[in-house]
Amino acid sequence: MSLDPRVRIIAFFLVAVSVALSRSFSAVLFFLPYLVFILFLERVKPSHFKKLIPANLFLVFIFLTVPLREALLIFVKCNLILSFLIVLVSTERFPVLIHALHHLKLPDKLVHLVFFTYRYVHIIDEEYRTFMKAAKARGFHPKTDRITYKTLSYILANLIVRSYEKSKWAYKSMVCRGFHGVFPLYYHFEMGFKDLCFLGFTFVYVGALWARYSGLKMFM
Amino acid sequence: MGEIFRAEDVYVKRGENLVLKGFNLAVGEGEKLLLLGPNGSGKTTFFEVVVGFVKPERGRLLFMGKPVEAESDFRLLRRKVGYVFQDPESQILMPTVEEEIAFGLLNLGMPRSKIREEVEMVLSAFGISHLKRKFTHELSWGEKRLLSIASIAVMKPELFLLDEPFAGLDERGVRIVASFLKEYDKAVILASHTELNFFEDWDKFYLRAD
Repeated sequence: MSLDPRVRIIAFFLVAVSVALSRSFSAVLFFLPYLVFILFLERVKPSHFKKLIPANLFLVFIFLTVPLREALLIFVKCNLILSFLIVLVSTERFPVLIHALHHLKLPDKLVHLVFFTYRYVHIIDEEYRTFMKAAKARGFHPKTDRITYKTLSYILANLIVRSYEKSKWAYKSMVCRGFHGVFPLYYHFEMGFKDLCFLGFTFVYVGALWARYSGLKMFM
Repeated sequence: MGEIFRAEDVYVKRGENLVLKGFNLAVGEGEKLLLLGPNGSGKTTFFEVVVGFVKPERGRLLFMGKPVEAESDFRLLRRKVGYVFQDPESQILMPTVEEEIAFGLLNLGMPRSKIREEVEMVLSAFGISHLKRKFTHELSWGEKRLLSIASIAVMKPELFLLDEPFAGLDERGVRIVASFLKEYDKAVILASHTELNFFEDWDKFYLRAD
């Protein structure tokens, strides 16, 4: 089901905050049926959940430093929040989500920052790959020696210089096409009946959790 | 034929070098001009002077008969002068092809329904309709080049500046851009470091690198 991206973000925010603030296993597990419901609704492919693997590699370290019960709770909470992120947010195209953030009246500067970060991460990545290819084409093999560190430092410095140059040209490109401080949006969203139903259901579900665990007590 | 743009006795310094020395050029409505010269002869610098990115040391610029001096004058000028950068990657801003083409029109305040029509038209004119929903970072160099030209062409500028627009384009791309420019009914200045056979009837202006 294609939900309005704004609804996705609001729903994710609501459940993520509720899960993060929960202090008991029962409160956290209360969200499992909700997750199953969205999984059914969105028909998310199981392959999407591969993204959980790298995150869990880091979570393993929690078991080494925190008491078992706490570590297990953090582990479950993290996986649940990430699952919601996968199901609700990552199934939507990133540019659409940026537009949704704008429509949700987040500060313009923040939205622009996210937008340009997304746009230029790819360019910087391409530049980095080009530099590495150029270096490898001339016999560079990364090792743990002085030449490698020096080469990588030069590549990093070049990336910073190029990023600065690119940012200047990006500004010129915007100015050349009549940019006057406001980012115009091409796509517009329309919140339909199904979006309102879903949002309403989410509010009721989270509200029910609050009621079940006597409001703030669930977070204590 | 009315005059669109005039540069009079323009001097531009880049660092210690004088890139443009007493440069004079005038372009009339619908006039087509080839700006030829080797690398470093000041072709890009001239374009940057026209749109106000580089301030000349001396000289006068006139757009539609009015002097262009303050930033506010250049802001108005840039709504009517389209500038295609030498490097398409530096020009492309938006995440998708469709949004990239619509960007300028949205800034000009055109209604969305009209923008959609214009976007479709320009996509088809440049043979890139199939790329409409594609992410710009996934495009090949040639596709980026076509997109960068299309995103300016859609604004229908009174004066179209193109800096080496054929670099990196395949034969099909060259043919598309060349036929578009030939049929474009407004003024065009095309900068190139090589002679271009298919624009033999266009006026030529030579710059020297010294």
